[in-house]
Amino acid sequence: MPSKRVGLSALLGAVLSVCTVLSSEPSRSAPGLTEVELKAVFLLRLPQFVSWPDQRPGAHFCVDSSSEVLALLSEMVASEPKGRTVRAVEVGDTEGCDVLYGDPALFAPNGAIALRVSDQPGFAQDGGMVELKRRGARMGLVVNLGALESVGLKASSKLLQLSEVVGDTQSD
Amino acid sequence: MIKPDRTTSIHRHLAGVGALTTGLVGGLFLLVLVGVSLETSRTQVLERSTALGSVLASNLTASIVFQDPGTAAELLNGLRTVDDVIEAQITLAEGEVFVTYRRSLLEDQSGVQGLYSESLSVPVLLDQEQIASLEIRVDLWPVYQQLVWISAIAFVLWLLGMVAAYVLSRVFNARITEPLSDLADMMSEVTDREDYSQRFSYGVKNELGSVVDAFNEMLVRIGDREQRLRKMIVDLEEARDQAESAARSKSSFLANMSHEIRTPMNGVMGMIALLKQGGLTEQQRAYFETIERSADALLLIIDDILDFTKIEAGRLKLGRSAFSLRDSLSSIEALFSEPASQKGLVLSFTVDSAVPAVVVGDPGRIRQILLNLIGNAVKFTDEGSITVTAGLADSDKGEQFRFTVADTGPGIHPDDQTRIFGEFYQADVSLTRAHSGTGLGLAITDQLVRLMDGRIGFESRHGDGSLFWVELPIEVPGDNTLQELVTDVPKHGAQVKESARLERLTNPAASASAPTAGATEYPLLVTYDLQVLVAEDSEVNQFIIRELLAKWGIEIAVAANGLEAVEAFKARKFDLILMDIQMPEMDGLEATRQIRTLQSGEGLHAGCDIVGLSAHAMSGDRERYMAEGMVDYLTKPIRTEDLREVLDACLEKKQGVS
Repeated sequence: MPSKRVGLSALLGAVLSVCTVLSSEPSRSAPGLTEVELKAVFLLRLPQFVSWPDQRPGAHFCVDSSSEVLALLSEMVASEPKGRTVRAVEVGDTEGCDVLYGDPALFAPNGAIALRVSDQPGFAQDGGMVELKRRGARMGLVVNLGALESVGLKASSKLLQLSEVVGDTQSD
Repeated sequence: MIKPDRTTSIHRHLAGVGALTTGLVGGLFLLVLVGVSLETSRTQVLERSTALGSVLASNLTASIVFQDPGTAAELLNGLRTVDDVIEAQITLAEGEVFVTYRRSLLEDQSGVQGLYSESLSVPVLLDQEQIASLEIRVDLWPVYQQLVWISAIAFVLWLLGMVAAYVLSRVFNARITEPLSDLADMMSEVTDREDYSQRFSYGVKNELGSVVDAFNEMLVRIGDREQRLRKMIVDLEEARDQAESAARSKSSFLANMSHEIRTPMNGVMGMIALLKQGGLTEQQRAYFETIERSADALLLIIDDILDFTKIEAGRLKLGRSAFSLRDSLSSIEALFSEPASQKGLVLSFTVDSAVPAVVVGDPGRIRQILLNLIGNAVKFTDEGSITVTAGLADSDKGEQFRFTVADTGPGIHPDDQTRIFGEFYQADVSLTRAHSGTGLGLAITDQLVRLMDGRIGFESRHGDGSLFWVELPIEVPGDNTLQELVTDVPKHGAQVKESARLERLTNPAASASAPTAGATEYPLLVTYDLQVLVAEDSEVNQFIIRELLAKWGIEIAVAANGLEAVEAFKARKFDLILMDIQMPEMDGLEATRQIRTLQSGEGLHAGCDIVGLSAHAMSGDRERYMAEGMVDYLTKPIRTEDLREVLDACLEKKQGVS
């Protein structure tokens, strides 16, 4: 990513150090992150702004095995002491997942209460929950509140403040 | 009157202290108040900003986490409604600045507001993890502005408080200080008027009441003491007056007695002189001469007493004339050489060459001083020598004459040395009997020296002789006084008297001794063709003079007083008038003045001379009599020799004229 933005969140200090270790490309001299790295960071932080109906911490990430985010996210989670996990999943194999990321095909509704995230354009509009959407040099979020609420998930107002919100809530 | 050193009153002082205390306490209180107020306001502002920052930090987490500085800036812009915040900045954990907010870009951050601002930092937490810090700079200028206002108001209140305290203090203090002031006034009044009968009334029982009671009590006691003191003073004054009166009476009595004794003594002396002229056997003549010596001695004692009482009464006047001190000393030496050699004493006189030939002073009194000192030396010295010196000495009063009289006599016992100049005193009581005397000699000498502004003293060791010294101021005559030079050689009568004194001084037994041969020459039987008027109130003296003159063929006319004398002068031509000085009706001096006026004015009996008769001529009298127009004067008792001198002079003049 050509992002020249210097200020990556300090909260990602540990993450950054991992990123630096992982990024072997010599071209990466700037502290700016690649799109994949950004996606991994966003994915890692999203559960902290969403609450599960059973107060689950949202600690289990399930990533499409074909996604390039998988390896990076795995490294990040491994380096943190919170006990969170990342596993590669195939379609239909979503048991025990709190956060799902990858092809929307993975996310066939099965009644499980999981946060479905994808970077596929129009995902949220099409009934997905959270879409990582690229906006120029930045990464943005699109949240479908209706989809979240349909399974009892609640997005933090802080998250919504900087997200594009789509979809109707049940109360509407 | 007692007044405070500085023109301030307790009243004002107390009010000042009250105001000062109030001012100090109030000022301190207000300072604390302002300080607390400042701290409270500052804390409030900071706490408010911290709370605000905490809320803001919470809302900022998502925008930080999801890299959305725009949203973060929007959130920070929400601070614009809060005046306290000048600046806010989000700094990421690694020190990078994420977003910055400033209230106004135009505001000068380094200005006044910058000086009164404070920064605080709020952590931005996500799941207990600090992801950034929010630094907020808070503007404390309004707090200080407010403080300035509060301080100004506080200061005004403080000033008002001070004034109020001062005024109130004055009002309340006046209740204490007014009575104090009244008390002070009364004290001044009491002091000024010395009226101790006043009392101060103050009805209140307090400390001041105690002071007032004490003051009143003090007045009572002072009043009592004053009364006692006044009575004592009156008593003392009475006692003093009585004592003075007694002293005056004593002096007066002495003087009168002396005079009264002297008058009959003149009669005695005169009669002796008359009797001696008659035909007497040798034995009778010897008796009469003894009587004469005793009478002389008695007269000398009386003269001493008269001198002393005069000095004591301050009536002794010193004469002032030019005379030869050397001649005086020579005559004194001549006087003493005989009695000294009779006692086997060596008498030597030494006069320094520096002593002026002629000096001014009272020759008679100087002579009296020296006679007393030398006479004492001769009298008390039984063997050895007497050395008299006269010279000049330097003293603190300038150059002075110094006379010394040194003897080899018994000396003076130390116990007596302090009293030797006292009157009626003789050093050795056992000697007193052997050396008779009034004991007035040294007392008179001492007084005379003092009168002359001189000094007298002595050095003596008991049993080893004495040295008396006298220092007298020098006065050397100017050209005009030289003309008035009088010789100090006394008239014959005075010489005889002095001889008698000398004899008594040097030879105490003389007054009772056998007569010395050839003491008196008998006048030749001569006659004088002279008309003499005797103005004399004493019949005894009239008789004596008449008898004396009758021997020389002179019949006299007698006037009993000055008036009669003047009338007699007018009625008849006289060659000589013997004029007593002290007479009733008109004294001799006045009569002389009138006669002289008649002589010079109308040319009446111009050839008549007047000779004064004086009972006890004082120093300066001679000059006075001469000034009144007398040609001479005789001292009573009148001696034949003196009278003859006068008659001779008169006859000589009459024959010269004719």
